[in-house]
Amino acid sequence: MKIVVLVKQVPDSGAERNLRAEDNTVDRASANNVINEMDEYALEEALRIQEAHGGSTVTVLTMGPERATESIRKALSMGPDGAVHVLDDALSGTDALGTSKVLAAALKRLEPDLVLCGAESTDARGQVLPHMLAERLGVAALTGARKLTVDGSQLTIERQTEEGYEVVTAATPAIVSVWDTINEPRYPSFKGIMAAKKKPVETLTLADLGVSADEAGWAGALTTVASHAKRPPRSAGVKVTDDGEGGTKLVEFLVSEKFV
Amino acid sequence: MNSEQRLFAEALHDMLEHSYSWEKLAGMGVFELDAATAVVAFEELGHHAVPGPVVETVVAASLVALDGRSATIGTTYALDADEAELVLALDGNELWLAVPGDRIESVDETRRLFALQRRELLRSDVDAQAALDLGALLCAAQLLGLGRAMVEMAVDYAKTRVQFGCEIGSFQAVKHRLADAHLAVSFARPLVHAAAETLAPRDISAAKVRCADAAQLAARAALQVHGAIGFTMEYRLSRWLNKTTALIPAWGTRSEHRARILESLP
Repeated sequence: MKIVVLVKQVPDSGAERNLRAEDNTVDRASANNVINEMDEYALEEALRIQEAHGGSTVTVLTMGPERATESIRKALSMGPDGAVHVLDDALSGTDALGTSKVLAAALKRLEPDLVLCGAESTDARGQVLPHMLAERLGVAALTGARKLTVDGSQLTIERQTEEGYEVVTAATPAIVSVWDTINEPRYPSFKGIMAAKKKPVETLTLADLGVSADEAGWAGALTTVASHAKRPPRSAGVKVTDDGEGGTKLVEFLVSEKFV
Repeated sequence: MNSEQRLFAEALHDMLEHSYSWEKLAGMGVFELDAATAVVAFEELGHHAVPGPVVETVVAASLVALDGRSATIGTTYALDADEAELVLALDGNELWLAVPGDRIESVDETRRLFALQRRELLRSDVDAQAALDLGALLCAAQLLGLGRAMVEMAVDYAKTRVQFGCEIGSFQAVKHRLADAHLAVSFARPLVHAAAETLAPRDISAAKVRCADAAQLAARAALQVHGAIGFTMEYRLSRWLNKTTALIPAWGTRSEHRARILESLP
């Protein structure tokens, strides 16, 4: 089975993140950039499938600027066979729709049986990409998986919902997005880190993929962020001092906020 | 430190921060590294005050094939001999299979030391000095990590603890104490990395002495900066303090190592 895992480099969600004042895009230059956490779970799942099914290959696919190579090397140190990096200056400013166009073109080239990705990225949190890719590629989308079973060409997932889970099946080729409940990603071994240095990383431009520059980047973006502002700090709230009427005041507050 | 070693140290730090287990350590290859990479890894193990026979397992692996087993080794006493899957005793150039005898108290409650009772002679041609030197080198790296962690904890604490109306870290005397500890740790590190390259007994002894000194200075500074809470067993710092106290004389005391340096001088 040929598996491709989508890996995105994002600013570390544990640190303070900002949008840039000049163009309202995520400030990646001053951030500590890491692999999108959810994508690590997708990669782990791919590696487990590879270990269970002989003859499988796992390829990492990333779209991003030059510094995304750090994340590619880190992903490769976990064990996949190789990576493809879509790298083009014209990609700056690409929105979700444009990203799906570029990644779909790259996936058509790679012809995977299974595409795995995180259910969302910690920077944009749109959750739309797997669906867009499935539509563009004409394959099934099994999204939000907390469990994935592969039986030949038959895929079964448990889709995590707020109330419980749904069992959804599809045949390959398909795209599966996963939540962090699906597994526990491995940490790279020193051998894995050394081996990652020698693994092939293919760099592709928009021209290589046959996508014109005006279909991606700022030129191709159908959505733009008009403005942004910091969330205001929390207001101090109301202090209720219990002078025998505290209970009543609490109930009044709950009623006023329609909690009861 | 090369970029691969740095990545490995980061991965180890990440793992130890989130979910430590012996299996994960073994899976990441911590017990089968070259010396130059091992000291980077063991500094991280010290940084997180990781318990268990980590040094002992590597030393044992330099003498016998472990096949994934955990191991402990010593001359008179051995760490965690009740838990380790293989217990070895060194005597001169003899390597013995041993069983744990009486337990000895350690200042570090995560260290369980046992007297060794020899059972079966495995080999009588081992390079015991090389094995003990490897232990001393890795122990030095652990002390380095312990020292770094205690400086970090003390710096964090000094930034939040308020006394006389301001953070205690703003007082010059506190800053100097922490800067001295940071310098001692930073200046000990090159000795560890150099010793890992040469594996020369004199270099290993120098590294062990300097790391023990640095970790002790860091421990004293951290204890003082933390004030009374630093003396509390239940407080986090105590794990690092007690492990430092236990590891300073482990794998050769400072005077033994200083004596060895003296002997080696022309």
